[in-house]
Amino acid sequence: MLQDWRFWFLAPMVLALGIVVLFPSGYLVWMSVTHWIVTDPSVYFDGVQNFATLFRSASFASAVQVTALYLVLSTILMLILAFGLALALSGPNSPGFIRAIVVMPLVIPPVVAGFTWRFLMNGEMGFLGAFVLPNVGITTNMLANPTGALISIVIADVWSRTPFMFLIFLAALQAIPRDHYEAIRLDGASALQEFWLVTLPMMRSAVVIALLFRVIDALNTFELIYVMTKGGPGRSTQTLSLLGWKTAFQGFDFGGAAALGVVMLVVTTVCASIVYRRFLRMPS
Amino acid sequence: MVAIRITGVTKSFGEVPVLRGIDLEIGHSEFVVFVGPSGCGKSTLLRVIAGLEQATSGDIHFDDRRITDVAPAKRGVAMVFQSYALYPHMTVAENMTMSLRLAGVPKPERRRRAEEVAKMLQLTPLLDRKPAALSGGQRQRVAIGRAIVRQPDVFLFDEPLSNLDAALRVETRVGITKLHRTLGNTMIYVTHDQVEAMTMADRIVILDQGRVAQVGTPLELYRRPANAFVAGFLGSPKMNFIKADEISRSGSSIRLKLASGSDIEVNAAATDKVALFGIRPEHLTVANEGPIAGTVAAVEHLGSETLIYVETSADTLIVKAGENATTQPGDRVNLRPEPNAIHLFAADGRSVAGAPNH
Amino acid sequence: MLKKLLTGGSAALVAGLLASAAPAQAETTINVVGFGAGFAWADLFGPSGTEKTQALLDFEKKEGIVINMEYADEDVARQKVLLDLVNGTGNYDLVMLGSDGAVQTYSAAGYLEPLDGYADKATDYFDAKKVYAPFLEANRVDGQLWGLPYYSFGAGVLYRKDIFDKYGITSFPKTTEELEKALQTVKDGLAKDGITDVYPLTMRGAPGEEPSLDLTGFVYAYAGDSAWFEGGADTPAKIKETGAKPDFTGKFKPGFDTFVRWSKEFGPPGIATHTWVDMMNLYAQGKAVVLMPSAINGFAGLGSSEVAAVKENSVFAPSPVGPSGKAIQSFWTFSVGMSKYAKDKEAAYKALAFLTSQPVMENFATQIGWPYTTYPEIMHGPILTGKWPKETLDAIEASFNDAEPHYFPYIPELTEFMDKIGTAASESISGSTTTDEALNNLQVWATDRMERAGYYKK
Repeated sequence: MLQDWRFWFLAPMVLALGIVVLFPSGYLVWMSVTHWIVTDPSVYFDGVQNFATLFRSASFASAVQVTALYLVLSTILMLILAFGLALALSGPNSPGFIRAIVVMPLVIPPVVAGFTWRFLMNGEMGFLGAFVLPNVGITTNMLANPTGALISIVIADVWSRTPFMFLIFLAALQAIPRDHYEAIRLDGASALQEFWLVTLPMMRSAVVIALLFRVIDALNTFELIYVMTKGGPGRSTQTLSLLGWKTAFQGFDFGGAAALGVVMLVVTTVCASIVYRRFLRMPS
Repeated sequence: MVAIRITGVTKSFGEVPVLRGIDLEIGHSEFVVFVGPSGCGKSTLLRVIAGLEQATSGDIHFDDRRITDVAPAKRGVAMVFQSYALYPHMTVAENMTMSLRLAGVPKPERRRRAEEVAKMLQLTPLLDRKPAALSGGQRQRVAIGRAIVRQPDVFLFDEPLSNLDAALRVETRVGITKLHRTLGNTMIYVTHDQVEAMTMADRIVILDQGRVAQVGTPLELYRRPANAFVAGFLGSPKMNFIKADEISRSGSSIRLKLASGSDIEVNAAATDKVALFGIRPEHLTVANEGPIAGTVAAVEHLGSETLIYVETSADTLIVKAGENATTQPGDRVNLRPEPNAIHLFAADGRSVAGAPNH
Repeated sequence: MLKKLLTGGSAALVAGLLASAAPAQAETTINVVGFGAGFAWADLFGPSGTEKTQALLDFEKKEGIVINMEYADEDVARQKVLLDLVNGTGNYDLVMLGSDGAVQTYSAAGYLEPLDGYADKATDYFDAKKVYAPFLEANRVDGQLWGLPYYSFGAGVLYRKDIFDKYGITSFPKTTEELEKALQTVKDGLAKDGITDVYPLTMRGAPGEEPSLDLTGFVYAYAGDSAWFEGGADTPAKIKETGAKPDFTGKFKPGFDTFVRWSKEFGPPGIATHTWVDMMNLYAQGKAVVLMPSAINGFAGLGSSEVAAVKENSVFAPSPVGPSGKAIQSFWTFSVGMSKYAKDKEAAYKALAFLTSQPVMENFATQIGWPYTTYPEIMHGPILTGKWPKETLDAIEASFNDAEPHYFPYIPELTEFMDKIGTAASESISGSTTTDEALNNLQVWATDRMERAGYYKK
């Protein structure tokens, strides 16, 4: 390869990518096998100790549970909502301003979205938490109840991130040629069969891409949860990314945080590559 | 194998009228081609027949059955789309037998039918491939296969050859004609290509701005166009038109003043006042004497024939000459129309005297 | 998070490179990082935090020192400090420190410059004898001083005298036992009057380290010492010496239980997620009768309150005394310390002394108007006496002088412990665990953590 002169045109790019992508990952892995706690002056190689501590800790177990629950709930809701909205608004006659409204939450930063929902859901003064919900018979304080808090976060997250999925689906729906629908209508399909046999299969790559984005996005969600509940009450909304932040910046345990980071990196990569290999590769 | 009767069909998209009143009869086992320029309404008419568009008014009958309000799938029609509309996630066999699957035909029977049709279209080795792995021509055949599997009364083709290259188009054209002979179904074929129309059709329907301009066999239309639009649309290169003024008329002889040339005496029993003089390129010859004078602007040697572009004082006329034409650009020439092949039109475009003896 | 950690690290790296490449300047530049633009040092850096006022320019001219202030959100500022110190860049000469972890951790890690040696270097600006001793004491670890106080407060109660009077309680209870009865009376009274949106008590119970400042104050009042470790050991030396194990299921329990019980019975339903912002807002909106033990959060709300009854009838009372005879604590100081890696430490100290000097604190007191300050002279000066009754100021002063800043252990792991303790309380209040379960988990975690930190190595 090195003899091929063409390689040298690529070399700067390869080098830049290496620095940008590989160096931080390598640094992370190095940290994860290092005993590096700010409160302890000695920094040394510690093998898998950080991982052992992590896997033993109750916080990790609960964070895995919370993350999984949050991921699954929000993703399912988002899929249904985004798909429904995309179907409803994909027609040429649907008014553009409704689409604009649907997409609007996307431009609101997660921190602002978090604050907004926190104030809305607040059980003492919030519009939803203190007035609307009690009036429809829900008297649980949403943010202070472990289940309620998780639900609140899922709702806020769905509100904030559905538009992105909606846009992916809308683009995919509008890219399905009209001929396909007409062909299957001529073949005798009902509206439902049209959906199952044409719309859904032809949306498959869009759905998979949306899911990929979603999983990565959900694992990285930090600001929204931090602002809304700080992971509480207790640890009931403390996801892996919140736990990582706390480990690093409140426990000052950089090694432990890095170990958690490595775990998340591996999980994300494995999930993503399975999804990719299974669903996205073109048939040969 | 049904006869189709279309009566007073109109179609508007919002305020825009696309079909302005179509009356048409298509016979049993007939191969009819709808042809016309873009926007003439030919595809819309086909889609109204298929049921993909609802007619704004008017009726359609298949034999004695009124199908104006019948769902597309129940009309007994099959359609081959311009884009083929193959489902990319299904194999060739699944694509071809989708209608059977939706009708609840069991899988083995579906497979048998797919194989039967595949054999006819030389698709057998491709049955288990997905469309992405097929060439354009193969996809086209699958689309036709899908229509055949349905055993419809009427085949509808919507510009099925426009995505193929020239050689394949000729080949497939012949294939479809053969298919029509084999199956004997009523077929309606939409194209904007007059060569396809001329070569394939039993009868051609020429549409212009949502109306039927003329219906007839290819040669009828070619020889006796009902108006200047039809005369100009069929034939390649297209007919030369020259503005003309009637000077005098005596019996069956009319004296015309041509915009690009001198006076000319035409033998024709015209009823109305002549305003336009038409002559096909193959009916003009370069001669020493002739009523039309001009300068050669360009010469195209096509092998078996030569096209000569002649600039006159008003128009550029095209002459189709034999392969040995020696005319050079810049030559001053005279053109002589073949007297029996002259078409005369009134000011509104109607044909007022044909050239029946051509 | 990782992204943050990594980009933070590399940003610090890049910033370090840039800083070392910068050309030498004739004047000394002192860089400070802090939070609360428009709040902290608004008299020097203006409401936007980006200007320089005349007072600051005068100082800079006189001393030949340029002070660059970098404001960030509180959490971001804390991260910046941590990453800067860990990387030892010396980018920031002066760093903001809270007495609830940062002082203890960074001093133990050797990131800070002890300030005792500078005490007589800039007495024109800062004279330790002139400020309330506990605020300095709070910044003392192992007998060494690590920061000078800016924004500080002690424990106390802000309550609605009108509502107490209405239900026949004429004076604010002196003990926790009496207070619990009084709260019950208020609760019953409110219920009888059909008032459902006013709560007898507002405190903070969100997970994380911040609410633990109040919670551990309860523990102290019930146990008589910090009660985190056996024998009340509260420094690394004592813990190592006696091998004191965590005691969260022992003496720690009564105070913790009380905090949780009061929160559940008298507090607003969302208290398990409340931080100082929520307790402040609830009180300011007239939806809480008693705010404690960090009374300053009540005063913070008074200024913006639009409820006349709250403005007119709020009265300060000393923090009640627990069964141990000691009062409930809540003590915090937001101080400024010096990085070990500061290049010109003399100049840095001078800037630090100026930032915490009496004129600067006078301006701060004028600006916020709360009855809190680090200087007795300001407390009794015209700015505060013109605004607050003498008895309020005296009572608050007493809360400073009586405070025990070391009511929780001063160990390097403090922030992490505060976080876990606060989270345990939040869990218990929300009912996702019982207090016993929460404390058991805390005990198990703490034992493991202390062992990992090498406290019990022989």
